[in-house]
Amino acid sequence: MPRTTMMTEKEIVAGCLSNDRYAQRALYDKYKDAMFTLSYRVAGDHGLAEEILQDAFMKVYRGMHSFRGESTLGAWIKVIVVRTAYTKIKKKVKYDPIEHIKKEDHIQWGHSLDVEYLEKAIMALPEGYRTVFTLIEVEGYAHKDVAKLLDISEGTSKSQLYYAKRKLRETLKFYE
Amino acid sequence: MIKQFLFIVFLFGLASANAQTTLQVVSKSTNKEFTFQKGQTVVVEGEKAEIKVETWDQPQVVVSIILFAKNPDRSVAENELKSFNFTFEEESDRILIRNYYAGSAKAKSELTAQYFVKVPTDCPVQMSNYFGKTDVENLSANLDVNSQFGPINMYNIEGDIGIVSRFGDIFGELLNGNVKIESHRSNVTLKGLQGKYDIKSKYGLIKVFADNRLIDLNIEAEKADVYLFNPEPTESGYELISHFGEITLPEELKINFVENNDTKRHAVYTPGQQQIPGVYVKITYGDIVVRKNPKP
Amino acid sequence: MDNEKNLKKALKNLPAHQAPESIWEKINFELEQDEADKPLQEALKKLPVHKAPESVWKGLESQLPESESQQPIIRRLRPVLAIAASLLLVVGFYFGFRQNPVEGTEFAYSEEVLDDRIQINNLEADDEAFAMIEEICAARDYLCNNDIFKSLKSEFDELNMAHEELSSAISEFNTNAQLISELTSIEMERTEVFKQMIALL
Repeated sequence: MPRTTMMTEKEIVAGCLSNDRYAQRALYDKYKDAMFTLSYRVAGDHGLAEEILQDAFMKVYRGMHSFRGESTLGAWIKVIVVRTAYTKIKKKVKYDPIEHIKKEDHIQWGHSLDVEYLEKAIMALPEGYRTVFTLIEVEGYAHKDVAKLLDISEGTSKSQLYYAKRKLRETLKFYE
Repeated sequence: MIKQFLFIVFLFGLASANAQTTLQVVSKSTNKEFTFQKGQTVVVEGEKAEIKVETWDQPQVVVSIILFAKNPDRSVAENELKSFNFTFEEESDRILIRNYYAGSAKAKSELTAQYFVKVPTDCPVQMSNYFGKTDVENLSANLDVNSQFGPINMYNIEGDIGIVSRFGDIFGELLNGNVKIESHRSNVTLKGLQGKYDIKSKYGLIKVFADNRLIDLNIEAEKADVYLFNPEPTESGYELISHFGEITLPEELKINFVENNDTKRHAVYTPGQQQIPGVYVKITYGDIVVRKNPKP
Repeated sequence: MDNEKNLKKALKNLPAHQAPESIWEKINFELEQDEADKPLQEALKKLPVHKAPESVWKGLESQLPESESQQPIIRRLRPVLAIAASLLLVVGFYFGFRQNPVEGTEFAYSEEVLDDRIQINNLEADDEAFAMIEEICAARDYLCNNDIFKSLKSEFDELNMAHEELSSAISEFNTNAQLISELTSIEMERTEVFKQMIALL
């Protein structure tokens, strides 16, 4: 591969497969901030997010041969990041059982939300709520994908999301 | 003799105290041309970069980049310049141009980048820049700029404009379209308003200079002062709300205060048949000042 | 044959079951919630992106196997390469620097005088005085435990973070006056907030 900094995604993948440091760095640079943000939102801690990002990218480089191009490279890396992050926080996660779910009222958010407070409120959510909320509402995953990723039922994913939103609303009211 | 010797030593000392540091400047530059396809956006991601985007009537995107490394020791600059790189990526929906430093340790040299990008007039542009200046002019397409610690200057843009700035001042003249600005600890100056403006600001000074009338302007700010300079203050409609601040108006603008006390001042004014005020300013911990200024 | 006819007949006569009203209620609830979630969705689009710290790449590099250019065979040839490189360097200096690792890339050399007025060393940050706040709050937290102080403190922390971010981006040989001016204004704002906090203590 030419020693060039003008790399396409194909060249990056090929470069990573042959352990080319330029390609590895190019791949890292392309996704680092988005994946760090995702790690931070799932882990809720900067230090832990750094650890997750490092572990996940090692898995990406080592597992590049298993990337078949069935999804985009970004989506593939994202799954690795989510799994790595979730493994780190799994012990702390407690899911509320589905039978307790009681959707009484709609959650109303008011006219507009302050992004700064919203970020703070998301980070203040308990681990399980925050993970499901981040994956579904921020990252755009469907409940069935979240269920598969986190090894929970779709029902649990749905109930956690509802609880997360309710909790979020309560916290945001505090800032109003 | 001893005196003479001491004087010479003193002169040497003086000379070395005033000695200037000379930086060895090593740079690498490249030019790249792309044929612009409809549906593509030019994405520029700069770091410590000075980015200038201009338009022309050709269907090509032309990029010139210069990367600089500056250090008193030329070999250090040369070495660090090797890790300071640019990339180009062309995909069906975007042309990405960016620079990055890939050295394993913090660079000892001053590393800076300069971009000069020429795009077709109808080419959407998206830029992010950290620690550098961003300039755009004469664009008739959507523009998004996200900047931190660097000023943004925009001139004559027609399209949807989205600006996010943190610790960097925003200057815009002749912006026409849906203009959305989010500024944090940045001053905002706008001249020759033509479109619809939504500004959200926290900590900063907002100055708006209208050429004619202020028609569609929404400002929500916190800990910021807002100045509206209007050649015909009585021809615009206003709803002005200031919590814990003052509202100052020109003499001819006889405005009705719905509420006027130390914690909240709320004034509404609609000229003639106009039902809804075009200017809405809501501010917490800051002043609102409307001034009559001569037509440019 | 008859069996088949009978089956078809039986199938036709299978009873119709009414969908329970509760299903529509659930669908309706979700649809209404989607509508109610619009302000949330709008705000979520604007959530900030956090920058990955540079230390992560350093950690990755230390774990990754040496790349092609650092393989043992090359390492064995290092003394030879070193001599060759020195020769190249000498030749390079002689003919002027014409290194061209990226197609179409040109290298150039020049000199400029460092402007002492825009160097970060010339700015004095009052970090010791600022640290005092933390000490006082640790010792007498009741002084700091009110809304006004907390709001100032969060502003102060934000300015501290920005100060650190910008300081670390400014090199030892800064040539960008605008960065120093931004740093100075952060410093001034920080001092102002600091004074307001001290007045409350």
